[in-house]
Amino acid sequence: MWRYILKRILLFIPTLIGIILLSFILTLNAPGDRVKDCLGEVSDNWLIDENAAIKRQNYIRKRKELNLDLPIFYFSITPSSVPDTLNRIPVQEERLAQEELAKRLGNWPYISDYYQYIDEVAHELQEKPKNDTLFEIWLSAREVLTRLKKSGNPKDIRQSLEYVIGNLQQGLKPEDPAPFPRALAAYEELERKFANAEANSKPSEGWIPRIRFHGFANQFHRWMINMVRLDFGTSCKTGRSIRSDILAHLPWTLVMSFISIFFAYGISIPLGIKAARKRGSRFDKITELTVFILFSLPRFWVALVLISFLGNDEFLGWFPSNGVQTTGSDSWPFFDRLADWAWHLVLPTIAYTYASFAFISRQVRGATIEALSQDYTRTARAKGLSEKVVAWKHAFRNSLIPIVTIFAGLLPSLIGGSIILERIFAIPGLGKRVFDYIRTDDFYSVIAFFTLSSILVLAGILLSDILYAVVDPRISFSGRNKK
Amino acid sequence: MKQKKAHNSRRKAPQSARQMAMRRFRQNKTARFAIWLISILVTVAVFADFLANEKPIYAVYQGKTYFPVIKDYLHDLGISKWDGKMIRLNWKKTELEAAVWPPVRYGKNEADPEFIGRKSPFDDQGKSWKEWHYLGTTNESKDVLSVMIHGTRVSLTIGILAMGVAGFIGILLGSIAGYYGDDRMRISRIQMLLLFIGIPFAWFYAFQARSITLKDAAEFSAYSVMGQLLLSLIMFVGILVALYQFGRLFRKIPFLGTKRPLPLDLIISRLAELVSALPAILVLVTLFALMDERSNMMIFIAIGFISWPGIYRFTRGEMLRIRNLEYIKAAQSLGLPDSRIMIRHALPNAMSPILTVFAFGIASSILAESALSFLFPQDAATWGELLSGALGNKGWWLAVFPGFAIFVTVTLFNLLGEGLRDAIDPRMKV
Repeated sequence: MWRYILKRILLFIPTLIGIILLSFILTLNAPGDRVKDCLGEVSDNWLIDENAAIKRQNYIRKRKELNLDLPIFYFSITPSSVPDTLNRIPVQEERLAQEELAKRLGNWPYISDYYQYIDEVAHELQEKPKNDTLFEIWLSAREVLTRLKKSGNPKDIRQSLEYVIGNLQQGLKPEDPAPFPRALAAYEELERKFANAEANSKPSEGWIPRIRFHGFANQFHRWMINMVRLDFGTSCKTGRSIRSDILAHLPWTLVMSFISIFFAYGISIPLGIKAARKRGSRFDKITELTVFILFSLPRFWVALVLISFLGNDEFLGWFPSNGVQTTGSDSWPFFDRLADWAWHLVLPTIAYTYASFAFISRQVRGATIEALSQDYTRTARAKGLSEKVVAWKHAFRNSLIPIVTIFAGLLPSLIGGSIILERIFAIPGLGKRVFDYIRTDDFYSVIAFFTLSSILVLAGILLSDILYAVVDPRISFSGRNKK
Repeated sequence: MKQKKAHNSRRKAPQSARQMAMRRFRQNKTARFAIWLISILVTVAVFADFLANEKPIYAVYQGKTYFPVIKDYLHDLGISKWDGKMIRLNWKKTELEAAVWPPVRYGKNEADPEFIGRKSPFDDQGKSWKEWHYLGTTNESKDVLSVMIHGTRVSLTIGILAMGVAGFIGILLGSIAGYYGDDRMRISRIQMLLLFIGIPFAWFYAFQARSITLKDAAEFSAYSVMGQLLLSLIMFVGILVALYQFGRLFRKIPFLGTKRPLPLDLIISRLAELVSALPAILVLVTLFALMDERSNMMIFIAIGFISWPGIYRFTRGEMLRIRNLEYIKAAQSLGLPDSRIMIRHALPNAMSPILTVFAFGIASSILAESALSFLFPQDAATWGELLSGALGNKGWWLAVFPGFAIFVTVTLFNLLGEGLRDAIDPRMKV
């Protein structure tokens, strides 16, 4: 048994790392620039902003704070056309653009030369023209610059350059002299540099891998340590710690889960045992059919229908249709508040309970039927014990083990169900919170919740497996694995 | 005639297990009923445009004969073109010399201009019965029945395609894990080393070096991305296979050439355990949050990728049983390659139990899809979308009818699954 438990725990570790890796990959693919989200930046015309230098400083500081300046993994394999200094470019959009162009063309020195010269061009366009009519041209020339900074597509770049140079050459009327000769010269130089990069391109570099090792100071390592410590960092959208946010909303989800599990087990165990005892009878057939129908009913439909008919004043307005308490009930005496809660929770409890009830009662019936056909039940019957005592004292006790351990199997559906049901009934629990996270594009909180609940489910399965082994010594790892 | 048939079937006693299963299935009334109703649903899905459309099926307009519904198909396929004037023609407002209308005269996205907001089916609609909104209208004054008919198509397609994806992954991994187990895949140490080192490189060539191609394909269209991704996947596997073959050259070397068992079953089962531990709806919701564009293709692929462990578990179990049967041993002793034994001899025998999981899987995929479109409505004609219109006590008909459609479909596929299970393996009936 100890061997089995040890082996089971050891196998838990790679699965855990798998979950953490998965969630890390999700964070890498989250849309948008996280640093910008955290700074609350809206405009991205940094290059030409008056406070550009300060903003850049802020950006770099925040990036360091979020560990985003570290390499991603323990090692990296990149095309040799991508330089290792790329990570030092702080702004994500600029970095991605340069990486793309490097991958497309190869031969980094020329590309870097081109991108660095963009800042020079910006320098030439620093001063606002005094002449108002020229302002439009000046503005468009600067906008193209921001665009160029973020573009890594040669076709795009060529078009933008052609457009802006054409604009700068003619001024307002075709016969006018160029209004910004120095900027024009700078742009022409930029175009030359780009043409140079294109002429000297080495696409073959893209097929030569270069391996670099980064050691433990990398993003994944930090992420993993934080996840194991259940430290999810701060959400940039709410400005609060994600962990405390989750903890603050956990109680309602737990309350609903416990209530529903309590009722589900409370109803399904006697029902399942009775059905097993009277196997094949009318009672058995009717419960089987009911349970089957209940099992197929979509939860969100049941919830909506309950609300539409029992929570709607047009029909039977017996129960409130949403929320967990009457507004302003905080000041009521304790028992009134308790009654108020109970009244609000009737419909949610039904919606939460029925599906797991159907699932459990089928399991109970199956397990009891098996136990009833064992030799020891026959012995008990032969002793002259009543059917009831045989079923409850002998058969049921032995079928209890699988029934208790299916609890772990209920966990994923409880978490999944909470997202939908809390949304419908407006219960201020975790599921509702996750829904809000998604609506406000708070990706990191969503991913944190995803990681946390996956770890919880895995831990639940681990625990039930271990319990199983403790209770039932016949189980060995190989036996369970190979049937 | 009927008697004769019955007589015939009694005379020719079924011999193979499959024939016996077929017979048991045919005798199961509930399962037959389910099959029958499912075929009706499929018919509705296929002919949705003929059942509910804002255009007539057949019309004579200004002396010319039109088949507007069929013409729409041809127009979308680019075979034939509507005239510029005709494409914007409101058929309902036009005087037609003759017309055959679909039973429901409203399109899936058509808001009834005479109505503002929702109407219950029992409200006075002030129309002739032909133009009645039989099941009421949505908050955007669309016809509920029409959206439901078109939603059938979405639900069934996503359910079946998602299980196609899940089936492919599950059967592939399940037969590998089950057939080889932890002991039968024996590869030499050098091969193991090569594969271990090779994975990052295969990944580099398949995905890193081709990242620009993939990016360009993504901007082009969803289908070209799929094609390019498939190519990348083939490259990935190809590189690993090449390395494996290369490693065989060293089999004579004493230490490195020694064969050790590779615990394939252990590794793949861990992966399946991981995927099945994730709460499905939460994964979908998380992926949804991260996706820029939400298309039905993404949804069925995502559902497929999280629901394969069910099929995997069954395939693996069957394969573990079959691999110890004598005919497989005979095939092995004949020196047939493993891939051939697996595909030609073992897998066909494992197929029938997997069919059961398929039916149950379609039911849960349909449920997942509708839950998803319920949580995040995006103005598409689906059942979940309709249901989401009922949130906040907006009208009982918006909750009852689409939910009932989901319930019926899910139940039918569950019944089909039970029927298949009882027919294939009567012992499993509890």
